[in-house]
Order: sequence, then structure tokens, then C-alpha cells
Amino acid sequence: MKKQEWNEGMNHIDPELVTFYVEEKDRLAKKRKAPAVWLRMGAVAACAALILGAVVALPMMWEKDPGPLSTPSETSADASALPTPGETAAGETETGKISQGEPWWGNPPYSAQGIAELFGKTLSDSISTNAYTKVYAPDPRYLYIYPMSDDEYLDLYRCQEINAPPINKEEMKGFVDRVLPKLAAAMNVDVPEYEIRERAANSLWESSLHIYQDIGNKRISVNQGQTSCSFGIYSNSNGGKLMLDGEAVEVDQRLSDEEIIDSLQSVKEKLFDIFGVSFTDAKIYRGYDSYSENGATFINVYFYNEAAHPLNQKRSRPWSDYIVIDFDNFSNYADDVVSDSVLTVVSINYYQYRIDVSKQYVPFANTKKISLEEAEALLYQGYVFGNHACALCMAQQEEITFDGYDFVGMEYVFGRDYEKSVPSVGVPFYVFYKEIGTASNGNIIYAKTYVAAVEVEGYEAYFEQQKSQHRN
Amino acid sequence: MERQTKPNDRIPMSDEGIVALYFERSEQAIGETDFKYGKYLFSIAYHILHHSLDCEECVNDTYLGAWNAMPPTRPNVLKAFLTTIARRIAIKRYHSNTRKSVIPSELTVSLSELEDILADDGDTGGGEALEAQRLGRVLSDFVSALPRRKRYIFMSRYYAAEPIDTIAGELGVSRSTVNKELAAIRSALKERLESEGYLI
Repeated sequence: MKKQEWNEGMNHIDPELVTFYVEEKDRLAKKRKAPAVWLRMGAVAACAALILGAVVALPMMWEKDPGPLSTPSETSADASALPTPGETAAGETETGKISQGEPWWGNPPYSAQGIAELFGKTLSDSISTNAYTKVYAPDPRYLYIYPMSDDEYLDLYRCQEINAPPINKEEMKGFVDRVLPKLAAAMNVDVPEYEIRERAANSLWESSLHIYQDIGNKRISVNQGQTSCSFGIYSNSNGGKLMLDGEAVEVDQRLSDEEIIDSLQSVKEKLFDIFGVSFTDAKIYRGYDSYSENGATFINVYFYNEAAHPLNQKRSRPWSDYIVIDFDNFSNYADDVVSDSVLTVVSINYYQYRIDVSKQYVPFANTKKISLEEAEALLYQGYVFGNHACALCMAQQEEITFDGYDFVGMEYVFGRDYEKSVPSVGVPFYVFYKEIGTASNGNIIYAKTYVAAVEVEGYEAYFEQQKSQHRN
Repeated sequence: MERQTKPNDRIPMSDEGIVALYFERSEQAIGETDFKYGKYLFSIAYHILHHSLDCEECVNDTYLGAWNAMPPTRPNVLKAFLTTIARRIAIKRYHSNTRKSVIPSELTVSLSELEDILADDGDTGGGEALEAQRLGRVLSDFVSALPRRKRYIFMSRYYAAEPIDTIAGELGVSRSTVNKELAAIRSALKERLESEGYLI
């Protein structure tokens, strides 16, 4: 790589990182001017971090199928219905519903600030969250809203420490030697030679093995870490369509999700044969934006076993082994093809866990769900979280009201443990959607916001301090 | 463009206000931008170029770039938007200058730290021309995954070409601490680039 290429690449770095840089620089400058204040804030932040860990939002879905969309409760909002800190007596959450061990709280377990941290710390370590996030879809089906749980008590999840086996070259070679000849035959190309390279552990990641190899006019990327192994097939920018046994891997976005899954039946069977697996379930996620004139910006098709992990029915990406086919529909490169009809594949990845993943993400406690009416009262008071932690973006948001919101569902939001690069604690939320306009490409703009579905203390104090930035 | 003197009693306009001026096509937008961010943009250019006259021109070109971009672009964070423009212009001039002779800027020094990753400009790097956008995406993924402090150190050193002493001072750590963290980042980056198929 030449220096000029490096510099050009740096010129194309994510603008959010530039935003992070300038905001952080300003923050550090202010910190130098007011060290005593900063130290106090740092101590608070450190305590909060100890409680919950460094976290980032990771939506967790409730059910596989969106089903009928929920609409606002008929019960009118009443602020008096708000739970107050300490209202839940110790032991009330212990009604025999604890999944593992004893609960580690009696009163409401989370502070509002702690809940905010679930959404934050992605770029600026801000603990603020937007009042709402804009999402786009041609119709509500593609919001993928998940129905609410009828359970009175909801599980809280956490990531368990699991002893993973060390990386193993022979294991990886065996895996690749099983897959590669079948893949090459399906692509009608020669089986390429490959080299397994080891990446030593450092402060950023665990040790791992990887292969990066051209195959025909495509590339494969195989990685083995301690907890999982993946085999990816990628299109080069000039690689053309991926053909398997003469059949192009492509989808017509004009079809419904069910029709797309049916149309991929033959491709699915080929992939099962190549990877030596079989999955019983499939699901699709489409992405939309405000400006693309060609429909979905991506379609991801997952093949997996829903019963392999209880969380598989509660989020988009499965927690167990799966194959995902990624169809992109936006221009990364000058010769990328976008279409309002048939999309060609960009990558196919098979993810295989090397540990018993059913033991990694487990419910560790069970807590009383607040009612929809209580959640609506919080919503109308503005005690909401927006799934994005940029104070400046938040300050620039137009004020909207969620009165008469259009849809409500439930999602889990997982924090993230940066040190271990894994999700940490998972908390359920009511998710409210309100249609707020139409984008230039015709997609409907929805405001989406989160209200914790469990009791939380300290809303008033937290949002009082957020007023300067939080307009809702 | 003539730089303005900053009177003591003048309060910088809000970013929203400045952006609104650009959208109104008011030339006051340039003056307000210069007043609020001129010194900062000069420092961005200076770390890369180390030549005051060149930097003045870069800053003025940045204002022209902003004027041409707004509208239609409406930046979420004006300072970051201006930083991006300023850096691109300064880098372009840097490469123009280095074709004439090596310039001893902080960027030159920071690039020399990446000697394990970067070839000399005369080297082809082992093949086809790299696509800047793809490399930008790989770098973005890598940097985004770094812990916050390392992320800031990387951006300061290799995006903005800040001197190590400046970074250490901002973070309240020693110069050697920053150097150690940079070494760890470079090592990790090299692995990442290799795994992404970049020939180094």
C-alpha cells in the first residue's frame, strides 16, 4: 500500500469518526480547563460503568413473525400510573420466576442513567440518548415490529463466561477441506490452494486463524476464533454474479419475504450441501433509507434453527449456527449495480459456534413488566430513549409528539462489554413508532423510541439534567 | 481570503446559525465560519503541511468547499464537516508538495511510523490500485472497534496528524504511554489489513 493510497483511504473514513474526534477533542479541552468537575464526572461515569459495563445498543426481537401490529392502548395515559423508585418491595420480583439463582436486586434494579448507558458509548461515551430515531420503510411490514410479551415477568439476560477451546489449525483445515471442493465444484472453478495464517492475541482481540483466498472471480474469507468459526464467500467489485451449479444467487425485491424464501429453495439446498449443514427455519430483513430510489438498500436472508436458542425468536441475527446471504443494493464502487427489482448477492457467510452457545446468553433474573399504560405514561412524559447517543444530533432533533403513536412492540436492548467484545446485559423495552412524514424517495418516515419495560428509578432527576439537549 | 481578528467581546454564532447563513447564500457565513473555526482549521492543515502560506490557502479552500457543498448538504456537526474538507484539501496539497520535495510535516512523521504498513510511494504495493472507499470502510470498521481512548489516539495521530506531545497532553498521560498505545494499534491494524487482503 502506498502512502497516497493510505491518505486517500483515510479521507474516506466514516464521518462519524471525524465527529467523534472533534467532539472528543473539545471535551478534552474543556476537561483540562475544569479538572475538578471532570474528575467528579469521571468518578460517576466509572461507577456507572462498573454497574453495567460499557454498552452499546443491540436490538433484540421478541418473536419470529411480526404478526398483527399493536396499536395504542385504549387506556388514556396517566402520569399517576408511573412507578416510583422503591415502590417495588424487596422480594416482589422473586415470585419463583427466577431462572438462575437468586435475583440480585429487590428494588428497581436500574437507574434511568444506567438504562441510558445501554444505548450509549458508541462514539462519544455520551450517556444521553436521542428522544427518537428515524426509521424508514415503504410500509409498516418492513419495520419488523415484534409483538409484546403477555408474560407478567420478563427475563433479563446476560453473557456468561464460557471456557472456549483454543484455536486449532487441524480443525480449521478439516473444515475448509470439506467445504472448499464442494464450493469450487458448484462454482465450476479449480480448488484453490490456501494458507492458514495465525493472528496473535493482543489487547484488541483473541488469537485467531484466518484464510483469505481468491476462488474463481470471488474470494473466500475463513476465520476461526475461540468461540466461533465463519466461512464467507464474497463478490469482488468486478466479480460479477455468484453462480452455484449454473444458478445465479439473486432475489427479486418485489417479492414478499415468503416468496423470496421460496425462490431461494434451490440455493439453500446447495449451500446446505456445500457447508454440510441443514437448517429448518428462514427469515428476512430488509433495510430502507430516505434517499435511495431503488427500494431496499439491503436484504439479508437467514437460514437457521430457531429452536437452537431461546433468543433466536427475539432478534434478527440468530444466536446459534446460521447461514446469511447478503444482497446489497447501494453503490460502494463505481461499477456496483443497483436495481429496483433483482439484486445480486454480495456475500454468503456460514457461522458456526465452537462452544455451547445456549449456555452463553442466559436469563439470569426475572422482573415485573410494567404495563403498556404505564409505559405510555412514561412516553408522554418524555421519559424515553432513542437508540443513538450523540448529544449534538439529539440537540438538532425536531421536537415531535408521540401522542396517538401508530405502533408499539417490544425489543431487547443489550449493552456491550467492550473489554470482552460481547453483549453484556439485555433489558426489554417497549418500542413506539409514530409516522412523521414521507421521505423524498417515498418511504414513510417513522420516529422510533424506547421506554423501559421494567421498573426504573430516577427518571425525573435524569431527564431534568438532560433537558438542555433532550427536546422531547 | 483575509483572516479576521477575533475581538474579545464577540461570541461565536451557533453552528445552526452558520449553516443557515450558508443556505441563505450569505457571505457572512464565511466570516462566521472563519471566526469560529479558522484557527482550528489552520491547525488541521498545519499538522499536515507545516507551511503557513499553504495552510492559509487550505483554510480558504475549505471555506470555498463548504460554500459549494451547502446547500444541498446540511451537516449534522459543522466542525466535523469542515475538518473533513480541510483534511482532504491539505492532503491533496501535501502530495503535490511531496512530489516536489519531502516536506518535514507532522504528517510525514506520522506516516513514517506506519512503515510496516505502507510502502514507499514508488512501490506499487504489490498490485492493483487500491480503492480508497473500500480502504476507508475497512479503516472505519477497525477504528470504530477500538476502545474509546485508542480510537481518539488513532484519529488524532493518523487522521489529524497531531503531535504525540499534544495527544499526551490532552489525555493527561506520558508521551511513552501514547507511543505504546500507537504501537499496539499499528500492530492490530497491520493484522487487520492483511486479513482484508491488503498486500503490505
